[in-house]
Amino acid sequence: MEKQQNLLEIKHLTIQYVTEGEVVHAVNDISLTIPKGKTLGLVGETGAGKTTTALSILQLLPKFTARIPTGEIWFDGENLLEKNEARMRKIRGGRISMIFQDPMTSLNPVLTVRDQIAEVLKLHRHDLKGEALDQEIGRLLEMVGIPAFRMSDYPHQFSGGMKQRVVIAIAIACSPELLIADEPTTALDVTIQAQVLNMMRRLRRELGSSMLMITHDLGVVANICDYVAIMYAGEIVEYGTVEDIFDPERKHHPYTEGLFRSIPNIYVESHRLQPIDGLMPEPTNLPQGCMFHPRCPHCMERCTVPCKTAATDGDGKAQIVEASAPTVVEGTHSIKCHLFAKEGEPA
Amino acid sequence: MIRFIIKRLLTIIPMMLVIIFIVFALVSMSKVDPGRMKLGADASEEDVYAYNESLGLHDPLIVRYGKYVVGILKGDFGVSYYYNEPVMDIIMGRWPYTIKLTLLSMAIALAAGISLGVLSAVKQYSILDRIATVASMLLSAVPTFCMAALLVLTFSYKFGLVPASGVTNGWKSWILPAITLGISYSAQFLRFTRSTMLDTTRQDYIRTARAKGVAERTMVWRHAFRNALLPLITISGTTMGALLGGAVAMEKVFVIPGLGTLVQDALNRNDVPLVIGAITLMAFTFMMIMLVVDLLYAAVDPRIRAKYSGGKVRKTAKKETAHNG
Repeated sequence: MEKQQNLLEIKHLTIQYVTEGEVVHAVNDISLTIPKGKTLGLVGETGAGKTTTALSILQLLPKFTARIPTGEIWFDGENLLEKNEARMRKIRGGRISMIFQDPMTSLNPVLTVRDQIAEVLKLHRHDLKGEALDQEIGRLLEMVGIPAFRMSDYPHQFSGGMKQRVVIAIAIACSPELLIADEPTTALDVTIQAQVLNMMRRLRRELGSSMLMITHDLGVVANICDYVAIMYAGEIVEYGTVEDIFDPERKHHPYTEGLFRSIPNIYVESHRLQPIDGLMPEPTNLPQGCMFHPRCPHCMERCTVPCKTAATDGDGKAQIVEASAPTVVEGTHSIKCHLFAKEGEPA
Repeated sequence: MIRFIIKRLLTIIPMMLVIIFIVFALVSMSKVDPGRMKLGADASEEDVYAYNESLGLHDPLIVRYGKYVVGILKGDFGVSYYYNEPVMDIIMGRWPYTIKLTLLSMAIALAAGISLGVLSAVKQYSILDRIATVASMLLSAVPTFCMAALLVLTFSYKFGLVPASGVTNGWKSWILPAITLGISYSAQFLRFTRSTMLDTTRQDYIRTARAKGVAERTMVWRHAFRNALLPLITISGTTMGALLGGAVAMEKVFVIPGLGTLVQDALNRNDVPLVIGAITLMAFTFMMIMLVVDLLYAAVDPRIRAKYSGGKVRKTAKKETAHNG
């Protein structure tokens, strides 16, 4: 069999949170791939479904409420959604690990940093014992820029940026093939952000891991990512390489354009930023048709109804399915929008 | 840490002085006449006066208080009016029963309450959780003496398995009282454990632990339970303090000669020295338990440990300077 080029492949993933009388449509039919050794940036505003997507890869979604009605998550040739809890535990922290958003609360306050790093090493690297274990913990801490002698300290003895370094040390401890970083710098102040980002880029290069970088900061994306997926209301509205997305000459989804317009530009004199009007739709009550149409400046009549679009099923057979908007693909770049589709024919 | 303990012990002294003073002032407001009690209705006013004078009862309140405190320092808590024996001897004769009952019922309450509480938090909304929740509410609603009566009826009168009352049957006599008291307190511990565990299992660091690939059991006990311990220690401390003061209802139902009934009888008999002595001792015990609670806090939570012993932070800072330069 041909060697799998993509480390992670998410196909038509839909995730809902079912609570009493309400269904929250958190992730709606998304597909994305992360090639080996590459970084994918998942960009979107709060509530777009980024973290839900990330947690579904590790299968850490809340047990009682989360449902995955459709979709596949292929990791190195295996569908993670078909794995049981015991097999998933072997993958979590070992082959896929995650860096969380808020370093202040991500570490257990009653355990030393040493114990918290040792835990993941003991679970996935059974060869390390005694002196070797401590040496490895020290090495990991030095890698993230913390002197090894501080391993016996507790989380409250570290600053926010230091804590995030510890969280990163835990995440990279077993040299994971996929590193999921969920807004790793959002809770840090700007100077520390830059340090942590640079460090993450260096570590990723040293470890050769693939990375899923969740962020709402386009600056971070430009800095660190190879591919970008723009997420809106649980859908991926635009996907491409960093060049595809950041090239102002190319076509873009109206939401992406809105995102870029809301970044301050020091070369253009203006009094105000141009935010996107309106709010993201309630995930319990998504609009018909394109999710973005109520806020879209280019909204047309056909945007307000679902459309038929061509898709391939699991066996590679072409079929027509219903979608919120047609997806237009040009090489590595794809946009989910009526603006670029020819009317009357499935894209 | 030792400095913290010494500091805490020193603060107990003024608190005890205040408590003794309050008890003293309250009791002196009552019109107890030990001379009349002792010598009977036929004794002459002069004899009664002389007797009370010999006890120093005509001194001003502050003088009597001073003498009492000095006496305590020498281990002298006065002599009981009723028993005519040193207060300390009487209390020490009764206290072992109370301590035994307290320790046994606390052990049952903690074991049952914590294990079921953790289980129902981990398996939230399961049948076990629902049963435990309803049962704990029922048990909290039923007064202990009612439950005691029910248990006695069932297990000693109907089945004759255990003695109904008294302390003369060795370990068997302790089964029913300990279980009754233990079960009713376990209901409280169960609800408490469940809610704090539900709270801690939703913390971010639990998600971090899961993302490491930690097994469910490790997650529950190593990560969540240790963090849920603090409120549990507090509530166990106060419960234990209260129980060591004597569980009057239980002692009455099961005829246990504990501290609770002793104090109640002393109050009924206007036995002032015994009442003051017992209350002083209870207050002191409670404070010592609270000190232990504080020390347990420090043992569980490094943040509190750091606060107690201000030195640790400085040590780290020094290490850092040494490392940097």
